[in-house]
Formats: sequence, C-alpha cells, structure tokens
Amino acid sequence: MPKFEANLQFMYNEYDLIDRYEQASKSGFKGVELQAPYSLEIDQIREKLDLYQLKHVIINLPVQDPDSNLANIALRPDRKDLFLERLELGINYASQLGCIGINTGIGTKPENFDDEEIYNTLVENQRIASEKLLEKNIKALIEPINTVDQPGFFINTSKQGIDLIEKINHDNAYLLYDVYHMQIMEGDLSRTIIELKDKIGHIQIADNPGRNEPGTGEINYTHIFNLLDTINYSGWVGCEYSPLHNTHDSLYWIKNHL
Amino acid sequence: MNKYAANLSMLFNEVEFLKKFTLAKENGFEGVEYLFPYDFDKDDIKSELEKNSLKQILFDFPAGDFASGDRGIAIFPDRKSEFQEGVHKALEYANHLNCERLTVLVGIDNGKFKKSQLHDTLIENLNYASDVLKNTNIMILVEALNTIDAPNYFVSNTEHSRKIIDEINLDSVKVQYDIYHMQIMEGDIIRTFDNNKDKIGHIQIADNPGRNEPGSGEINYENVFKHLAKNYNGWIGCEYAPLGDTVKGLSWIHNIGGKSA
Repeated sequence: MPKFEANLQFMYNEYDLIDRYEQASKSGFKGVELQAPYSLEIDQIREKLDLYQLKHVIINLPVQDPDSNLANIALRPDRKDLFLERLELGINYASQLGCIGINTGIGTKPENFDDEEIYNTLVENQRIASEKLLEKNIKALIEPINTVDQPGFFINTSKQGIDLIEKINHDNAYLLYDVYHMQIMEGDLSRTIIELKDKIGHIQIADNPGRNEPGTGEINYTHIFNLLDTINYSGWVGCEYSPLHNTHDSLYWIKNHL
Repeated sequence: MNKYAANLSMLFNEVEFLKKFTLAKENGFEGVEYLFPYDFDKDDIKSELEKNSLKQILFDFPAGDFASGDRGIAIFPDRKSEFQEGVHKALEYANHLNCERLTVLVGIDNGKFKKSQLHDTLIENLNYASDVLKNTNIMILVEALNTIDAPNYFVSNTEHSRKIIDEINLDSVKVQYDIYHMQIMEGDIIRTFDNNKDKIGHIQIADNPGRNEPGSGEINYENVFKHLAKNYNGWIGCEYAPLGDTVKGLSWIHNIGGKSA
C-alpha cells in the first residue's frame, strides 16, 4: 500500500486547526497536508510536527486576490508582483515545514483578460515558482480541478495539466493528480496514472460523487492502490475527503495500512 | 433488484453461439443480448429462447462488415440504402424473437465526409428507422463507444449521444449507456446516469481497464449497482470478456450485483 497522509483542511474538522496534527497522529498517520497553514505560526506547526513525528507533505500557495477574494492571482496579468510576494511567503512556510511540494494554485479564469494573456501569465508565474522551489528542493505541483465544484477553473483535466507543464518547460514542475477531480472530469484513472506516472508529483483521493472517504462512491480504490504499488509509486497519497460522519469513523478503509 | 442480461457475443465463448442460451439460463440469467443474430436462422434462435424461457433483450442493427473494421454504417451518406435495408432485416428478426430494443452503431469517421454530413445522415437514418418501427414496441438505442478501442468512432461521449436522441425527440429513441466505454471517455458515472436517466434505455457493463468482470478494475461496481437498483428499471447487459472461465467469473453477480438467485 502507498503512504497515506491526512488533509487537515478536510479531515478532523471536529477539532481546531492546530489540534488536528495530534488527531492525525492518533489515527496513525505519519504525514499531513494543509492547504492554508498561514493562520498558524511556523514554529507552532513545527512544534506539533516534532511532537507527533509527522511529515508535512504539502501546502498550497496563498493565491487569494485581496479585492475579488478569488484564489486566482496566478492567472492575473495585473497581479504578477503579488504572486511573487505570495510565492516567497509560501516558500518560507514550505521550506521550514519540510514540505516535499507546494500546490501552486491556479484558480478560476479572471474576467477582462483574454485566454492567451492569462495562459502566458500562468506559464511565466509557474516557471518562476518551479525555479525558486528547486533551490529549496521542493516540487512545484500543478493541480487540475473539476468544474462541477469549481466552475470556470482554468486547468481542469490531466491533459491540460501536462500541456501546461510542457509549456513551463522546467524539470521541477509536476502534476498533482487528484483522483476525485479527474474521475469527474475524464475517468480512465488507471490508464492515465500509468501514462503520466513520471510527471505525477503528488496524489490526492476522495470518492465520487460526494467527495467522501474511499468506498462510498464509484471508484474502486482497492484497485487504484494496488496499481500504485505495481508502478512503484513512491510518493504520498493525500486523503483530501470530507468524512461522511466523523473523521475517526471514516478511516475503516485504511485502518490496517497506517 | 437489478436485471442482468448475458451478452452472448462476449460470454460463454467456451461453446458455439446456439449453445450459449442454455448456459445463460443455467447460470441464472433471464435475458440475453448480443451484437447480431443475422448469421443464424431466426427459428433456431427462437427455439433456444423458448426452450430456455429466456427474453431476447437487445441486439444491434446490421452494422456493416465487422470483420473488416466497420462499427456501424448509420453516418455514411454513401451507405444509406445499406442502412435502410438493415432496418427491415432487424425488424424481421426483432419481431420473430420478441426483441424490444435495437442498438444503432453509428460508424467510424473515415474522413471522407464533413462532420455535418455525417451528423445529418445519422439523423436521417434514425428518423427512417423510427418511422419503420413506429407501430411496434421496439426502442432504438444510440450507443457511444470509446475511441481507444474504436478510434474515430463518431459518437464517443454521453453528451453527444444525448444530443442526437434529443434532436430526434421521440420516446422510442434513447441512449445506450455503456459504463465501460464511458469510464474511458468521461468518468463521473453516477452523476452522468442521474443527469440522463429518463433518456437511458439500456445499460451495459464491464470494468476498466481490460473490459473484464465487474470487480476487476477501477470501477466500484458494488456501489454503482446499488445506485442502479434504486434508480433504474431497465436491463443491464453483461458485455465483458471473462478473465478466465465464464461461469467461474460470474461470482460477482451474487457478491456485488445484488442478485440472490
């Protein structure tokens, strides 16, 4: 079985954010991920990581636009300076927390710019991020997201993700393959994972429909986990799902593998 | 409870075609489907159905020369008469076998015609078939196929098959939703079923990758079958290639298919 880690944004919502590290450890997780650690102090998180012997696998860049509140400054031709500022903040957190990667956050398509200009901005921002993250040995992760939950999301299939990575043309840019998002957008999970395995830097999971724990939907996760073993996937698998009832009870599918 | 039909083009290949009916019955099936009956005498098929008390659930309209690569002819402007003759042949067999569903395989876009010509021909042929079948109980089904197994097949996702049947706009013309093909092309199985369920006249299944038994691939068929049991009254055609022995491979039907018999 692959290495599983807990997404603290989605899981353990029964507890305050800072207390979720302890709960993840109690469940047996050896790693965690958290989209937005920025409301917490780095030292505060590090203390928890040390105490509970947890690897902080990934975080996301803080890409909210302060005016529109949309998380899409990576796409904004008029926000390149802000993106660089946020990149520094993200790198600071990620490097001090020992992250293997940063989800560089793409976002929904902004109004008032044409597609080509948006795309070129994204490529430019991502290339800078890939380069700067390489200095810290942190992967730049590109995540396509489904447009049922997030209409207008700019990169929403694995093909678009891979095309973008080719345009970025940097060895440190990787695909974040979220099985839930990709089942909604394209299906054909096993074939796609095998085809793209060398460019997949991180995997996240949830069942579909519902984004709940594996076993609640249409995806045969036993098959997917066996496949990840077969292809020698050595990365982490982030459990980014909303527990159907409570988090501890949602872990039956993984109990013997933590 | 879900109703499963044995697909005799893919199951029980251990025996010749006319001997498959008995095996289907012996293994608990109440209905059968297959690609084509046309190489066989309709009386021979009818006697197998009657002998085994099996319902003839579905077969396909004549779809060109399968062996040389045809996957239907309904889109080709230069093969309209061939399609239309096939409609009459299909009706003759369907009447004789009490078959209430006929599937149209639309064909592989060979690049000789504009897309709009292929589309218009398909609509014209579907209208022709609907007209011929209008005083019968026979439903016409349009099936999308995946383009990995059938490159350049003209209709390759649910949105497209839905658009075509909406254009025909008759209760007797519906979508055949093959979960194997659509998992390859689009995923999102349960939502897609829910969004189209009033327009889905037949379902077929196989796991992906491999097109083998449910349970052999990435689809959680146990949950899909539970969903269908609550939301679908039609038949589910078992159109998969058994990994080994057909009968041994049928254990899924009791384990996850929700069938107690």
